[in-house]
Amino acid sequence: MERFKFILFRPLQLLPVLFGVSVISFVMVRSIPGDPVRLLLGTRATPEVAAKIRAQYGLDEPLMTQYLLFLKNLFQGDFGRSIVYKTSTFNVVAERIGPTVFLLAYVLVMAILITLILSTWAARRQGRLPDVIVRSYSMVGLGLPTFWLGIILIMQFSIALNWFPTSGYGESVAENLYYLFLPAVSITLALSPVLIRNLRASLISEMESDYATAARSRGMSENGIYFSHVLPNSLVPAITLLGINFAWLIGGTVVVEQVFSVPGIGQLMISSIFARDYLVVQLITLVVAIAVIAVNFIVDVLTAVIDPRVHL
Amino acid sequence: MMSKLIIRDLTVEIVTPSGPIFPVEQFSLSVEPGEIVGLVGESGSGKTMAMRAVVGILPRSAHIASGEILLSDADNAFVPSSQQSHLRHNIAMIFQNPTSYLDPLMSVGKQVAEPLRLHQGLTRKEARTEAIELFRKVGIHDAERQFDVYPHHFSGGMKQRVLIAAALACNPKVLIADEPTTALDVTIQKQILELLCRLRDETGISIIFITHDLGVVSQLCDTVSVLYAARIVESASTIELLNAPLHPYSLGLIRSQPESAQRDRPLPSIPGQPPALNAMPSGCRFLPRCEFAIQACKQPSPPPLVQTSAVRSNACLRWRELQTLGLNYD
Repeated sequence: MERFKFILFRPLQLLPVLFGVSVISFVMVRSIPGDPVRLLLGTRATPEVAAKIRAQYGLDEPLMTQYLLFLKNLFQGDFGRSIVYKTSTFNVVAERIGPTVFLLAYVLVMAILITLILSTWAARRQGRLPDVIVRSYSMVGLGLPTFWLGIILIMQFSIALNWFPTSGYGESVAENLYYLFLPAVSITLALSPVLIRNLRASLISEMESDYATAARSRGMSENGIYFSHVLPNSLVPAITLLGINFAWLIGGTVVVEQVFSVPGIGQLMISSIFARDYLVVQLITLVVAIAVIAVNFIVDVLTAVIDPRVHL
Repeated sequence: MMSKLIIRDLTVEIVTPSGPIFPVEQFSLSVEPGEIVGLVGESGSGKTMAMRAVVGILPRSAHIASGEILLSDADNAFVPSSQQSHLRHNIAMIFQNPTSYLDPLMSVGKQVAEPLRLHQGLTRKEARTEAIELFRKVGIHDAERQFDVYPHHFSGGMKQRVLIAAALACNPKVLIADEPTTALDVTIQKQILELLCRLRDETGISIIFITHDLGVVSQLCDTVSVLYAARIVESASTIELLNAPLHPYSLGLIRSQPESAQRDRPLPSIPGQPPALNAMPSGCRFLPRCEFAIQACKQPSPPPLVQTSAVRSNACLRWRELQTLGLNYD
């Protein structure tokens, strides 16, 4: 019952957070020097034309009025018009969100699988060669910048070996898996070391825990102990860490989309910042905020499902 | 079916960067069917380590360097310790701190059902029925409802009952109880001790009971072995040992009992500290603390445990003299 209430009412906590995010993104994007109308029209446009467009997008109003107007429109489901694309920002973002969601899901699946496999491999053979390999991997991986890794992967696997495309996005799921393979790998290589180090350490300490010893004393096999006791107990901190890293992960996709020219909202975000397309930047910020909060909400629910001591 | 357990010259080794240390040395013990054997000694004397070696759950750093562990089977033939899996569920263990020995994420019932499914090949449903039966046997009321409860809802005493049920689920011949009541309060302690006695009476299981508490030993155990600095120094029937100890260390332990202290006098204790495992004195290990020590006690190797009667053994060179001195509580 309490769990049910939590799942029902927790989303309400979104509202104050989103309000804060909307204010901050509104103020920050407008405090970047530069004028969207000038960037759009170039230097040759007459002041009259510029003033007309400025009035059309409400950019001549005081900041407070602009914000209230933005909020009012938001409540009516209107996210405003993009000054660059001349259409509803909602459409602009909706069109570009697919590749990003696909990429994120791709990375999550890849990172979770790699983390589970490598951590298990290392923890079950602690101190031996597999452990040394995995520990070196996570040590080196922690130090590699994503954008650099992306460029190296392109040079090696796209240009030298010609196995994967250098950039772009496909039409079908299978094509996407192919097109986004290198971008997903470069983010996974950066994300997984933290997760692996954490899970490996928890697995090792849980394997030496008293309840694992007790299970061993009852004649259970190491495999049985691993899957029914050690792994579940290690998953809770691992899932929490993954949730915390999700915001970082989105930051990673912004960079990687740029390197691999993936037409996602990360790339859109950067081009919109350059064009001072305020409303698009604001909408993307809101979408990312909702995604981060949603993921942490899922993490909370999962934690409570796994661990009966956790009350939501 | 009852079994006899024989542990012969068991030595446990831990390899450290500064050389090997031996937390258990030449440990020998025999446990008759249905017998309750006490194992006493200070912390770090090797009681727990010896029993972990017997069950096969030594920590990663430790291993059995030598010795054998034998358990008689149905034909009264002894099966050697190389057949670990045979031993593991024939010798079950319960532990000092029941809270940390239960998996917090699994319901108590499932933790008892797990070994049932493993060793007896029961289905999920059969194991559930059987586990509920075991819950009743160890005195958990409303067993059916408690099956799905998680450990954190249970008190320490209840958790210890769950651990006992899980141990019994292996259908063991020998139950090793490693200070099972130390973490519990006195009334619960009494209940758990009564439970162990009842289990022994009903099923004929043998119990090795590790404890600090000689009071518990006197109530519960048929025989006692006293450990000091990794070695057994004296083994005897409980009555003999408590009334006429033949080793100065056993005597010291008995004298330090709060029950035997005299009013208005400080509680007697054994002076000094037990030696560290990496700095064992040569000769008798109790020598630095012993009021009866003589020159001969300084011989290079520790005095061996010798049979002093059919049912007694002792590792003091002067046990004959101590016997004639008629040692008592004063």
